[in-house]
Amino acid sequence: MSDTNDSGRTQVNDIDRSIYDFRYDEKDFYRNDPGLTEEIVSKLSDDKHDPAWMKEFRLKSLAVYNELKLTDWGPDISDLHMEHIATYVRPNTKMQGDWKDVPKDIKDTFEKLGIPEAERTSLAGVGAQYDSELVYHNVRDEVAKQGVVYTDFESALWGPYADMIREHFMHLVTPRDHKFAALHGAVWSGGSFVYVPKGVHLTFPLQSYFRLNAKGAGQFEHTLIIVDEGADLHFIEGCSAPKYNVANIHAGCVELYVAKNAHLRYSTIENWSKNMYNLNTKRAKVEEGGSIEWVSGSFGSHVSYLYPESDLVGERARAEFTGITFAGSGQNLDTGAKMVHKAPHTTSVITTKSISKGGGISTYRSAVYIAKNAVGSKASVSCQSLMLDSKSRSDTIPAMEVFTDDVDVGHEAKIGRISNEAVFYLMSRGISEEEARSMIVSGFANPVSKELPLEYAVEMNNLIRLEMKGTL
Amino acid sequence: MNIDTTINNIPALTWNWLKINNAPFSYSAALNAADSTVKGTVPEGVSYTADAGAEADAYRNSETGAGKNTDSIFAAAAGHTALIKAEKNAHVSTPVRINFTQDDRSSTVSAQIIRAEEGSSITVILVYTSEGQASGFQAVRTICSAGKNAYIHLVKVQLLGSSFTQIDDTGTVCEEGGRVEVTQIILGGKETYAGVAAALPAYQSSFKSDTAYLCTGGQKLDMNYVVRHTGRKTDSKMSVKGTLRDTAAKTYRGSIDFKNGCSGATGNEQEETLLLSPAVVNKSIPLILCDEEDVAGEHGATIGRLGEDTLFYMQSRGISKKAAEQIMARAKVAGTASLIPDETVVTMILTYLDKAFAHE
Amino acid sequence: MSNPLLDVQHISVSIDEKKVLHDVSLQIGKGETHVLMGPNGAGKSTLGNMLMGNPVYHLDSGKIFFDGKDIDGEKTDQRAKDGMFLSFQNPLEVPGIPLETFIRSSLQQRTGEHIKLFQFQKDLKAAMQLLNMDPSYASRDLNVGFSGGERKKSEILQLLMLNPSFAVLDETDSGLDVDAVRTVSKGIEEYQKKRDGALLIITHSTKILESLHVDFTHVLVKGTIVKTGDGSLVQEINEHGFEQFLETGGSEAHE
Repeated sequence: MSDTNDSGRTQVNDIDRSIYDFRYDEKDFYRNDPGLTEEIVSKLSDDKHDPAWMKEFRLKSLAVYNELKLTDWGPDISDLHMEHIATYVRPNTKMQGDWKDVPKDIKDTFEKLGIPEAERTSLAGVGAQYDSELVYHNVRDEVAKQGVVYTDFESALWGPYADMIREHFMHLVTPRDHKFAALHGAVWSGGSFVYVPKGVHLTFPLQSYFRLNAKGAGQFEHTLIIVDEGADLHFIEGCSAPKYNVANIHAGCVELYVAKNAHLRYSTIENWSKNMYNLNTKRAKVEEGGSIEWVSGSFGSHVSYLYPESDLVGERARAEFTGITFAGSGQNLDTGAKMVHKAPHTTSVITTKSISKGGGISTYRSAVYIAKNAVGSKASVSCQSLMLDSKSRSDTIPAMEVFTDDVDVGHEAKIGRISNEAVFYLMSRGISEEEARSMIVSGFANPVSKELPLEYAVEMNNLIRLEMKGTL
Repeated sequence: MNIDTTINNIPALTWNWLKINNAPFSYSAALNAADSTVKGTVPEGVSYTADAGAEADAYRNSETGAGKNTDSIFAAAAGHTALIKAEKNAHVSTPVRINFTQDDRSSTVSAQIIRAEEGSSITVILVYTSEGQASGFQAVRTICSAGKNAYIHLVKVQLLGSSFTQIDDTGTVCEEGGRVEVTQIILGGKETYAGVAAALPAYQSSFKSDTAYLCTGGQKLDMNYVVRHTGRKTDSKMSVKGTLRDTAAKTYRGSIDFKNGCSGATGNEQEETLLLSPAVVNKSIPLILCDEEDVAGEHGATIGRLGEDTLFYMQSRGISKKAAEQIMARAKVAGTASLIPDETVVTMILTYLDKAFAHE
Repeated sequence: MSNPLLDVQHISVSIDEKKVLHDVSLQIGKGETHVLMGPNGAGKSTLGNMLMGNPVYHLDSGKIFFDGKDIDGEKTDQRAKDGMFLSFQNPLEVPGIPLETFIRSSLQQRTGEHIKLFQFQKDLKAAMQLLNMDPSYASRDLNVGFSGGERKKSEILQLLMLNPSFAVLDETDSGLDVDAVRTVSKGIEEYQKKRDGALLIITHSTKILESLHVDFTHVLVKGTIVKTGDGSLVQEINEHGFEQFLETGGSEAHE
């Protein structure tokens, strides 16, 4: 349970600044949840009416989870309330929290962002979901008309696409990848399955927002999207409203399959509430001639580990990642991207912006890996960091590994503050200092916001505005 | 001496699967201390002692590029750590030259402390050579300490035999207005571990580093460069340029660390790597760590083959692709070598390069 | 002059503890056009920046009154709202903010009212046409990738749209070709006519002044005003340069 002080604000413990120390003994601070037993996972599986293979998968994942160690780099997660997980996933749990316990600043944000009353409780994870069912069904019918399959994960396991799912589920992100991928494999719940048949171009973006009402939704949500040959899809995940939950971990998983000559745009604005540990794993596999664009805005959560990975496995496959991370007070956001070139003539482009303010820590972490056979490949990385004060921290840790000579790899990074000259320039036109700084930061974020659909871009700019005012 | 550790450790860890966080290093053989003797007479304004004695204690905790895990190796140089000191306000125009001619199968450790007193300036050139096919081990650690408004130019030229393993470790520190410049040329050896750590704790102190290399055959080069900005208005510039051919492999870790309080600091880091064969391996990780708002840091890297445009241009002037590659590889080294204020050393470098390309 | 719009009284200005202006006094009445000339390094840009309240400059002594108000201590944006404008010598690039949005935001700040989009766009289009600016520049990020000439035009465009009562033009003609100078000059003339605004044109060459009406000319050498005359002084400098003034330039700091 996160602490709340008198004003009702969420309190976050001091961040361990020695985040770069060589690993301490795991025993000292992190304990596997003793409550997360085979029995509980089994019961969870039964409650969900999983097919037999899924139940087996969950149990195997649990074993891997107990086996794997944490990374020896990255933000401290010793404050993660693992003991809630077992309670949370236990079938028929009453654990949903109460609206009156939701921190005041979360409620204030709903207010400021203009979130409709009806949606607030759902976002706050306190039950009594608003009637998104109706909206969801409408969207579902709309896309079905275009031949697109969009269903919740649980029912998809039994439907006509059961085999397709079995073939793909956690093959891209496997439980062995890291500890929280394994946790996900054991207790995943909720999420979406999308299948776009060959040649189909969905004319409007698909949004996952409506799926927040499933239990455990967002916590351990699994998204599996398969875009078949020559098809085209824009998928939007998340929303700018903060999502709060008492069990403070989000270990979701997103697997994206982009077939030959297909195209997928995957946009996200993540704004988990500031007590949350966001340990999301996202990966895309792109076949010959296929392409993926990631557009990502990371605003919330106390700690994030987030590095969408693109595996370019077919010739001329392409991946682009455009992202922004805003780390404010009490936040330690470790984000970036991974590009893996495993075929000839593949291209990757990473463009990121990061902002640190009020003691926030933002770390940009990336890996560009070009395998021996990825001849004729191109990779470019551009990361810019803006420091808004000296209480904050911004680190850039980009790695490039190249195993052949026929490549073109370029990388540039810049870090600095808001230019005083730029502030003076704007002020000389009558714009106040605070407004000038806000405009400059929004301008800084522009490459990302212009990739988002308008209403998301507006939401994102509002978020930036609120962050700049220090009221979030 | 039995050592099994990791060296050239990066200031901030990342994914272990990249195998880039450090260089595993193990060695078990006797180590002999080798003196760092100045060639010819010691120039005026410079004092030289073959062993720094108690004065070395002041530098015991200096951060170096290869790191604390190599301390046990350098312990063997105790009693043989040369102290080269430029007296106050002395502007020593003649470079101080120290030659290390390594015998085949030798296993040596050497250390030097270069101290430039207030207002002085000095250039020290270390050249490591051996017979062409010689094998052996050499470890060198150099600490540079630039006093107030003083200047040290440290040059390190590695032309060792093709079976040599070398650890070339450097640590620098400056007082107010002090400047240190390190120029490194790495052409020989089988496995070279080069590390430089520069501390800039004082107001307006600065650090510049230029490294050029050529790795062919199965040569391995592992580098770790770190600059720590603690003082206000400090400046650093690091540049690494080189070429990889055949089955050569190189890892470059370059870190600019802006610590809280270093307002007005600027740091710049550039890397240029030319890749000439399909079996080469290149790993780069240019880091910027920042805890201070009022700074400007940037780094850039270009890694790849000879550009199509450049190639076409050269071919239109009658130069074959192979010749063009050689010209570019050479130019990267020659460019950095031109910073060395000693003609004979520059000639040695160019001659070595000629030989490297001769059998083509 | 009674009730000048701008009244600069014996100011001494320094930057980074280095004195740049010494005991400079200047009065500019409503609707008047003053020219400030001088060799490079005289401190001309400093004066412009100081008037606009650039925090890197320090007012060591003296006073500055604008429209009767002592503006020392007033922040830059307040001075802009009071009616001052500075056209920068090296206009900055501001990525992510389109030119049109920037001007509209500035107007909004100034008048405090919501800007009627239709009229605004009409005015903007007309002003851009006057300045021979391609309309596509309106949606481009402020000065990003603009040539030197286009940046200067962007400044004059802002001058015309924001309509201040007093504008300082800092070396507006530097780096411009003959055509661009003419165009920019046209823009300044438009401002003079339309607004009857007061102008302080800072320059070290006279190309831009050829078709403008000049009321007063001041020569600044090494931080001191060494001569004040009327419009004909411009012609004199054109023919004889600053030679005659260099001996009389003062650089001693006044305590």
